[in-house]
Amino acid sequence: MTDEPQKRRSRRKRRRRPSTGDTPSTRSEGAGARRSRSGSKGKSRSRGRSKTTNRRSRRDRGGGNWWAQRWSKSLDSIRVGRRLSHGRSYARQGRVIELEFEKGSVVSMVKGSRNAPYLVRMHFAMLSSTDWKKVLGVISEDMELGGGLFRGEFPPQTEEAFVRLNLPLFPTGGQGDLKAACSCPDQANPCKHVAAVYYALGEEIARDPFLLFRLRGLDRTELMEGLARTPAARTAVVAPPSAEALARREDKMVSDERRGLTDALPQSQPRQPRDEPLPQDPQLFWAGLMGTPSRDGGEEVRIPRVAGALAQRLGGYPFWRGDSGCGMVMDQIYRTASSVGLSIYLGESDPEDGEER
Amino acid sequence: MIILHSALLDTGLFLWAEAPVGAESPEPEAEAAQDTAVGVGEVADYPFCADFDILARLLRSLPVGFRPTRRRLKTATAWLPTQSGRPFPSSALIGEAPSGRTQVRLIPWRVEGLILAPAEYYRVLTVYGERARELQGMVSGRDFSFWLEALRFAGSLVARQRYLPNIEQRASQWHAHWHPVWLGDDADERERMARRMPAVARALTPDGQDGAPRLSANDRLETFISAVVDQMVRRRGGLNKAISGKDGNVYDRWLRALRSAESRTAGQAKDLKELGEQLRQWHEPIDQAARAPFRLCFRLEEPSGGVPNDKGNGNGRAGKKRNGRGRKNKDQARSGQKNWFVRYLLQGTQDPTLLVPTADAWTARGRKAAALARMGADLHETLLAFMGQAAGVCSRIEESLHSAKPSGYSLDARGAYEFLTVTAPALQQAGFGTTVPAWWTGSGTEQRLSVRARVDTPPLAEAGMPSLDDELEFDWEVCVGGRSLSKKDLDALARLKEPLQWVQGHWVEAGVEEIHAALEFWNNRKAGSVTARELVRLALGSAEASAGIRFDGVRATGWMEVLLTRLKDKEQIGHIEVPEQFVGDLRPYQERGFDWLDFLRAWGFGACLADDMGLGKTIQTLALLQQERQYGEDRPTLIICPTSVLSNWEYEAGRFTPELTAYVHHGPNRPRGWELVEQAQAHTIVLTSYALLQRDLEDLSMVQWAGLILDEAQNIKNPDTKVSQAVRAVAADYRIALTGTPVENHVGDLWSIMDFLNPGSLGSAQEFKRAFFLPIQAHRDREASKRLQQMTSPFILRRLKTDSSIISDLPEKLEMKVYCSLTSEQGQLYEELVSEAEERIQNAEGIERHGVILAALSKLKQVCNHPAHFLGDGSELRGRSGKLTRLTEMIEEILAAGERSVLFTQFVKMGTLLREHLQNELGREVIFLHGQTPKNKRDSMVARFQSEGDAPPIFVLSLKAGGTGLNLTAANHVFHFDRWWNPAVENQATDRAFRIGQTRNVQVHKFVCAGTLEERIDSMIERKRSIADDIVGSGEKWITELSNDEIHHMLALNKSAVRD
Repeated sequence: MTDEPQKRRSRRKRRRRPSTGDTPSTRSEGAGARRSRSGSKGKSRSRGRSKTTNRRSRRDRGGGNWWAQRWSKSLDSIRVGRRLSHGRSYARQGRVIELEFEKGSVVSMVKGSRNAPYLVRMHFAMLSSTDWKKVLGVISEDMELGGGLFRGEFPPQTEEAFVRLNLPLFPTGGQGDLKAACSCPDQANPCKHVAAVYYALGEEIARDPFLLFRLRGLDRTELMEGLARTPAARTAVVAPPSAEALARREDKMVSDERRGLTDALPQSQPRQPRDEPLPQDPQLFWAGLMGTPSRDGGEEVRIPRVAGALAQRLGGYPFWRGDSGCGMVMDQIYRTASSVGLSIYLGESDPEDGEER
Repeated sequence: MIILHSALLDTGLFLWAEAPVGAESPEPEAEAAQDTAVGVGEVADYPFCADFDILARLLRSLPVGFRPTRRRLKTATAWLPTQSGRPFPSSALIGEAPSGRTQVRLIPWRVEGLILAPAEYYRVLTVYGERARELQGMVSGRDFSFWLEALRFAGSLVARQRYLPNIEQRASQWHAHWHPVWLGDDADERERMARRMPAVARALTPDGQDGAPRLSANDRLETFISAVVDQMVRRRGGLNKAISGKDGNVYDRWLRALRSAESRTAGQAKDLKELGEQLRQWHEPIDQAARAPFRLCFRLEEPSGGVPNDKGNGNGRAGKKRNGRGRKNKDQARSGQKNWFVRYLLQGTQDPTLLVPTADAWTARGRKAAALARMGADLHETLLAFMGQAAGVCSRIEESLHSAKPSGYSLDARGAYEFLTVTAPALQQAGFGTTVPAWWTGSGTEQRLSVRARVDTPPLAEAGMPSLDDELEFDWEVCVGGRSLSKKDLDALARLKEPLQWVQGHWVEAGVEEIHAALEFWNNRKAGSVTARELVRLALGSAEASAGIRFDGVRATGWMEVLLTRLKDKEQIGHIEVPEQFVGDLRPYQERGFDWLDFLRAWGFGACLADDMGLGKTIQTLALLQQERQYGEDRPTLIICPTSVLSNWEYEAGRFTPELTAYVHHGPNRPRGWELVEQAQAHTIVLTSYALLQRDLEDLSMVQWAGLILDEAQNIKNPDTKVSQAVRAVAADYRIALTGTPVENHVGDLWSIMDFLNPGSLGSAQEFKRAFFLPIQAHRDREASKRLQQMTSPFILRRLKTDSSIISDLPEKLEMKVYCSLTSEQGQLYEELVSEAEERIQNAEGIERHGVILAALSKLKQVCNHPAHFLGDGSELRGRSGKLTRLTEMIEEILAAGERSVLFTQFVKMGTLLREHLQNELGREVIFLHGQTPKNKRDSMVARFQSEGDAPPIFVLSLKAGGTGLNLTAANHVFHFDRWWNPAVENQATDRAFRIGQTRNVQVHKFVCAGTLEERIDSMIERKRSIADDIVGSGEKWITELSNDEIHHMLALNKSAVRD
């Protein structure tokens, strides 16, 4: 993993959009809400906050995103805290044009007073593969933690695992733990550009806490692979993907750009279309194989009491970043479509088309 | 007639059709443009391709939501099996298959039709699926039916919510769409279905493409289902105005695109790509689950220690302690506390009986775990992922994951109840397996707290004449599983307030409301009085839960008990003698049917006699009508039937019940108003057709009817039709429905007939749909179907020819006359011919006279067969011949039963017409063998007819060519459409089917036109036959010897027998 940075140099670029900052945040509904790392939009997150230590913002009372709190708290420890408010207003003006992540580093473009944007770089100290093995070992002792991470949650116990091993997850303020540099002539450190990137990074982390793992040198693929070997094979090596697997992946990538998006997870290969020549026998050709429809043996066709259980299984809609609520709309669609599906199953026409007649 | 086809072509569905070559070309359409398809390259036009206008006309008759103008005409290349340059049509209905020795190859042919976008074909298929029965001259090709079946499958996926939102890139555009999820049985089901896909459904390519299409059936099916699932879901957004519009980020735009007709999602390529990636990651666990060779299964286990032993007091005892978690829980279990447990198991996808507790799976202990491991999957990885996902559905599962090797969690009765009602369905829907105790039916426990009515009536002997309208006093009692509960029992239940309780040896769902309702019933035990009819309904299980508690029938003594016993068990119905005035003998099963009809009539219940064709429904009914007279009934009974069987009824009545007077209300000069009432009152039996009932409903309603009998009662299976409403408007003391189709198999059709027979007995149409149709059709709810059966079976009697008790009563060969009427067109032609013939006969002598007579006979027989047969003008066939109409009806019934028929006619011309008409009307292949059929073709025809499986079910033969030698034992129905008047010849023909190798009873249907020479000759033969068989052995010659007077009597038309 961490030992082949060039080959696996994956980038995640993010075009920043200017935040308006005064829309009240809407939480995503449904099962995801309980443990959502997605819920809020992150725009109004720090509204009315003068100090980063004062994290009793509206959003936090919702009970989520301990990691976002933890992030801004950790910035205190590296003396960014006070400057973060500058960064925030800067970021809100849409000045963070681009934000790119690699393992252990962040590269960003921030629009300053000049025409050409400034380049901000940050470097995080990465954990060694041995350290990561230990972390995964600790994580896998708790099914809930392991399972939670596996299904894309980020339980508070995650940090405990690092603390127990005395390894850093959030910035510690220690020597060389987090270095930041800006191409601006400003002498202040951190300058407002760096502060803006800290802020923007905080927003990203609030949305995707696994970024923290990545900044410490373990991307999500590797995390999943590592978790997969637990708990029985707790001591198993978190090995990089085999050369063959990489080659397979390489084949699929159309371009560099695409590559950045596709290597994040173990791939579910889309089923390759299969060839099946047409039969020449006229009977087989026109009528096919005889046989009774077998649907009768299958599952009961019943409108479920709970709408959208499949999405629940996937932890709600954690990816959601839209302005409107997602879960409620989805549930509504699932419920309405169910009765349409039942009509079709029973050989009736679509009730909605009927109304048009 | 056309055969409809459709094939997937790119993302659309190409709709086209086949028609026989030389079929009448459609009348030109107003919008027909000059730019018809022009052949491109060397691909030739498929000769059997139906004209675009025929397709367009079909689509225009359906509410498809778009205009199929000629501008939409498209061509495509179809790769069809071809031999020596000639294509094989899909069916012999279309044309003859090429014959030859060269190899069959797939050759491209050009077909024309139209290409439908997903939204369009979704609509066309749904509408067509619902209305297919109404469309005449239209046959669905196997491929077309296949897509209809696939559509229903997609419907079941959507109903069960097996789909997720997604985004995908097509060309340069991103499209939001709903994607089916293939979990569990669904993937297997899809593959099974794909194996049945007729190749033609994927045999089309766009014009100009090289090479035959190769995409597998499975891929094509997946594409199709994916598209229709998307269509079913995407328009359900009820798009909220507040969030519509252009604004919002890519997420909002995506969500909007999911809900509108336009799937395209606008936005920056980067953002869209990122969303796509996020969605892919989001779906990943489900994709993983779909690939896994096993799934996680949750099994609810009852408190250990088996059946609690305190049966006596009905004390609910599970879940008194409700703090079952962790170590404490184990202690409790050890100390013998009854606790429920949800165990986690791994279940093989291929072999669902392979169940391994996760506890064993973690350590890979045991043979089964080893079997799982051998499946090659990364056991732990998958298990871990599944556990995590299940935790998202149920918080109790989440809590249990704190340990390193979770194996399940324990819970109390309340928790178990929640698991059964909420968690298990949700887990199942999310693709996990669940196993619950057998006493849980899906909608509740098998045994429920229920109330039943208790009624005491005097014995039948002392009761005088009890009637269904008598008011009866009754009590309520509360019971479980047939055993009554005391007040003390109920109070105990109420105190515990547990949703699941152990009562009388069963786990019983007992909600607070149910217990309250039960107590309420208990406290107001003297519930009052109700009519006997209502009690019968209750006893048969009509009442659902009402006032919060379910009914469990009636416990009765006295005559009510006797009545209920007889209703529930037909064997208990007493036997009565068939009245002497009834001429003829009833077979034993017919006597039983007669007793049953009599029993229900006496109580005023409606009865549906649904015996197989040929078992004598008419005779049993006539016996009842005779018996009714013996009881002193003097009001007439109204029989309504299709016009085509009016004559038959008249003749059967004349034969079996000569003392009863029958009046046929028919024809343009039929009496109306009071005249009709008087006419009816002067007769015992009044016969009329469904059509005239509607027209003369007002007049007919003025008559006081003893009974109302519907023949071919499937005519009212649709309750919304005017006919159905008209028959309900006629008042009568009792009602009988006769039908040969298995009504009880069609849940939807049953309501209309039962509601006619015993109004209100199955509730309103809406109530019925909710209580029975949906549960049975969609959920295969066995309880609902059992209840429906309980409620209807007392009133339905259906015997099959193949029932062992019937077979012994039936002769192996059953001969029946089928009396038909002439249509007025036939009558007119017939009369003209008769007067012309008589004139010529009078002026002729000797051999010439013989010739004239024989020629006249032949022409008259042709008219009896069909006007088009006589005229030979190739005109329309439908609705112009009584015989042909009746024949079509009967064959339809025979086809529905999956049986085959042999039809004899002495006219080759008529044989051709029969083949054409039956093929067009029934959409099934008819083979026709006549004198010109070459020998080798005859053999192959017979072989095909005799073959198993999908053989042509109707075989028309000319009497001369097919009367001897052939072996047609695959048929068990023989029709003599016209008559040779020579029993020996007819019997010889009949014996084609009735010979060694025939394993079933054979029914022989001899057609006779009432009021014509056919009827007279027939009866003359019957008479003479009883004197000396050989007199009439020589065919029609003897007729020529008759005097002019005798000839006149034989030929003259009895006009009252003309009906249409």
